[in-house]
Amino acid sequence: MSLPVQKTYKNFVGGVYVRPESGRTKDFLGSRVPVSSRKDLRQAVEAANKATVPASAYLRGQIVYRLAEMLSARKQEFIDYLKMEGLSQQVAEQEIELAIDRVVLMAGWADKYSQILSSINAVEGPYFVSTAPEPKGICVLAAPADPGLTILLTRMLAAFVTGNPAVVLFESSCLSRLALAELIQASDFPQGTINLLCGQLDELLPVAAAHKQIALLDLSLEISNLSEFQEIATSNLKRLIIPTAEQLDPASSQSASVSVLNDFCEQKTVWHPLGF
Amino acid sequence: MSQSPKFSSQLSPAPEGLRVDLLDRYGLFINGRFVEPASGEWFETISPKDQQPLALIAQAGIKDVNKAVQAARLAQPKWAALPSSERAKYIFRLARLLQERMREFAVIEALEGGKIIREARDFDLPQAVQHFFYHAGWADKLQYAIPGVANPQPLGVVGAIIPWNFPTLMLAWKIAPALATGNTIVLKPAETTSLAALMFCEIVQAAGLPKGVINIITGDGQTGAALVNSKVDKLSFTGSTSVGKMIAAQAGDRKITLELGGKSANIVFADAALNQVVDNIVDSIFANRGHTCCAGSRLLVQEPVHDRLMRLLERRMQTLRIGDPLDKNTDLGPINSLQQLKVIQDLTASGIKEGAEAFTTRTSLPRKGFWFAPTVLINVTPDMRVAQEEIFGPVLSVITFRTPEEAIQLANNTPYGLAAGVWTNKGSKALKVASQLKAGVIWQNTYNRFDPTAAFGGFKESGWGREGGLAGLRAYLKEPKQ
Repeated sequence: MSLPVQKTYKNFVGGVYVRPESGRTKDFLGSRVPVSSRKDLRQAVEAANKATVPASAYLRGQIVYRLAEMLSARKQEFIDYLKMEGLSQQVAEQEIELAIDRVVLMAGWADKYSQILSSINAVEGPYFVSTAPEPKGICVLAAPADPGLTILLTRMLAAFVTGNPAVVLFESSCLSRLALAELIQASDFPQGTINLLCGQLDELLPVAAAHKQIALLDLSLEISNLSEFQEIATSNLKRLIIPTAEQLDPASSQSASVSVLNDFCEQKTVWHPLGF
Repeated sequence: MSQSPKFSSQLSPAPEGLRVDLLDRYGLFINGRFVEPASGEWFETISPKDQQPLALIAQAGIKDVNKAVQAARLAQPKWAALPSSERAKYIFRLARLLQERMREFAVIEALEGGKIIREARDFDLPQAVQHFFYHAGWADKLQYAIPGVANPQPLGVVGAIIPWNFPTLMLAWKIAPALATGNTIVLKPAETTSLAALMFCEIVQAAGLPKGVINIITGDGQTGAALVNSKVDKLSFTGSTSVGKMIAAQAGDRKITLELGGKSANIVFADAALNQVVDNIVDSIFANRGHTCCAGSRLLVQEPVHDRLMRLLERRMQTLRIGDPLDKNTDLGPINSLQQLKVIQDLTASGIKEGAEAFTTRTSLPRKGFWFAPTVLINVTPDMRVAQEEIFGPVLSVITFRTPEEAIQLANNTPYGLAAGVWTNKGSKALKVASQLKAGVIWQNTYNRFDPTAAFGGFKESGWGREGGLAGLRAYLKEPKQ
C-alpha cells in the first residue's frame, strides 16, 4: 500500500482556508488543528461583514439543500470523523442521519419562517401596517462541546436562512467541524457568509462579547466564566442567546422550531397610509 | 459598399435546439407504472402550430379512474405514516429531478400547448420547480400549518383536474401540497396538454416514490367527470367557472379547491408611470396568448391619459412577434385549440358589433394552425359581453373612468373576482383601492407575479380556496371541527 497523504486542517474564513494568524496549532487526534487568536476572530468578523447573504429566500434554501446533498454524499467520511471523536459506530451513524435530515429541514425554513413570524396589524386608523422579521446581523456561535454536528448545523443554518452571516467557534470535535468547510464550499454559500474557527473558547468568547460589529452571541455549551462576559455583552446590548436544554437536544423537535429561527431575527414594523 | 445597413427589426430565427424523444403512445400511470387503458380507447394529441400529430394518449374510462383512485387509496396510509422528514426528502427529489429536466418540459409545453418556449423556459418551469421545493419544506413543519393544531391530518386521496394553459405548473400546484400534507393523488391533465404530465411520471419513477402516491390519468371531460364522481376525499380543480360550478354541486361534503375564470381589471390612474404600464399591459393580457385565468383582460384607464396610453400601446404592440412557439424570439404562439380560437373570434366580433373599436398588430399570421392577432377593443362599456365574459385569449377590453370610486365600482362589476392591477405613483391610493377591490390577488404597479409562498385564488365566481402559501397548504389538511 502506498503512503497516505494526510489532510492539513485550517480555519475557513471569507470562503478560503487560512492558517491561524499567530501560527499556533495543537495536536488533535494525531492532526494539527488551529488555535485561533482574537485577531483571527476579528478577521472572521471582517469577512462576515463583507459577505452578502442572498436576499432571495428561495436561493438560501437551495444553497442549504445543496449542503444536505454534499453531507449525504460524504456520509461515511463524517461518520468516521465522529467515531474518531468518541462516538460509537451506531451513535455516529444516527447522528449523521439526523444531521442530514436536519439540514433538509433547515433548507425548507428559508422561505417559510417569515410567514409564521410576521403579521398584518389591525391598527386603529387608515394605515396599512406590517411587522416582519429581518436579520440581526453578524452572529457568533459557540458550538456544543460534545461530539456531533446536528446542533452546530442547526444553529449555523438558523442564522444563515434568516439572512445573517455567521462565525462558528469550537474547541472540541475539531476535525469533523473543520471538515464541514469542504461541504460549505461545495454548496455555493457566498464567501464569508459562514466562517469556521477552531480555538480556545475562553480566549475567544470575551473578545466576541466586546466586539461591537457582532450583533449576536449564541452559546450552545456551558461556559465557566459566563457571568463575566455576560456583563461585557450587556454593556453593548449584544444579543446573548443561551439555548434551552430541549433546543440543544438534537432528537427534540424543539431544537429546530421556529423559536430557534426567531432568536436570529429582529422585527420591523412598516406603516403606510391608506387613502385616495 | 458605402451604404450603411438599414436598421431592421427582423431577428434571425432562434429555434430551440433541444429535441425531446416522444413515445408513439402513452398509457395511464397507475400504481407506479404505465398501463393500458381498460377502456381500450386512445386519442391523438397534436401541435397547435401546424396540427402535426405528436402521440397517442389513453382515454381513461370509469374503470380506469376507479383503479387509479384505488391505488392512491391503498398507498395513502403508508405515505402519511412515513416520518415527515422522509416525505420531505421524496418531494425534494421530485423538485431536483424536475429542475434537471426543465428544458425538456419547456419544449413539450411549446410543442403540444403552443406556449412560447421563452415563457415555458423562464416562467412555467422554474415556478413549477420552486413550488415543489417550497412544499417539500412544509412536509416536516406541518405543526405550523394551522394555529393550535399540533398534528394536522391529511384528507386522504386527492382528485385533481388541471387545465391546458400551464401544464407543468398546474401539476406542481396540485401535487406538491397534496403530497407534503400526506395525501395521495390522482391527477388528470387537460386532453390537449397531457404530455408534460406523462413525462413527469418518469420523474416519479426516478425519484423512487412509493407506488400509488401519484397517479396520472388522461382523457377528456368524461374522464374528469368520472374522477369527480369517484371516491376521492378532496377535489382540486383549475379551469372554467361553468365546470367549477358542476364540481361544486357534486362535491357533497368533500373539501374542494376551485381556481376558475376571471375578468380581472387592470386599473391605470393618471399619475402612473405610463411607459412602465404599457409593457405590463402587454405582459398582463398577451402573455401566454391571454390563456391566463388572471389575465388583466379589462383595462380601466383614467380619462386624461386614455388617448396617450392607447397610442403607446398600439405602438408597442407592433413590435410583438407572432409565430413558432419554439422560436426564442416569439412573443405569441398559436391559440391552444380550434375550439378556443372560435370562442375568441366570436366574442371579439360581438364586441365590435356592440360598438367597440378594435386595433391589432399589423402582422400576417401563419396559414396552418390556430392563430389570433393580439387585439385591443376601445370604447367598451361595462354592459358589453367583452366587458363581462372571459375571452381567454389575447383580447383587451378598454374602459375609461374619472374617479377612484368609479374605478372600484367598475372593477367589482363582474361575477368574477380573481385578480386586479392598480397603477399609481401614490402608495396610499394603491393600498386604499386594493382594500376595496373584491379580488383574491391585487398587483400594485406590477402584474402577473407569482410565488409559491404567496396564496393565489379568487373571490366570488373565480373560485373557492387558495393555492400556495399557508392558505393553500391548509386546503389539504383536516381543519379542526368548530
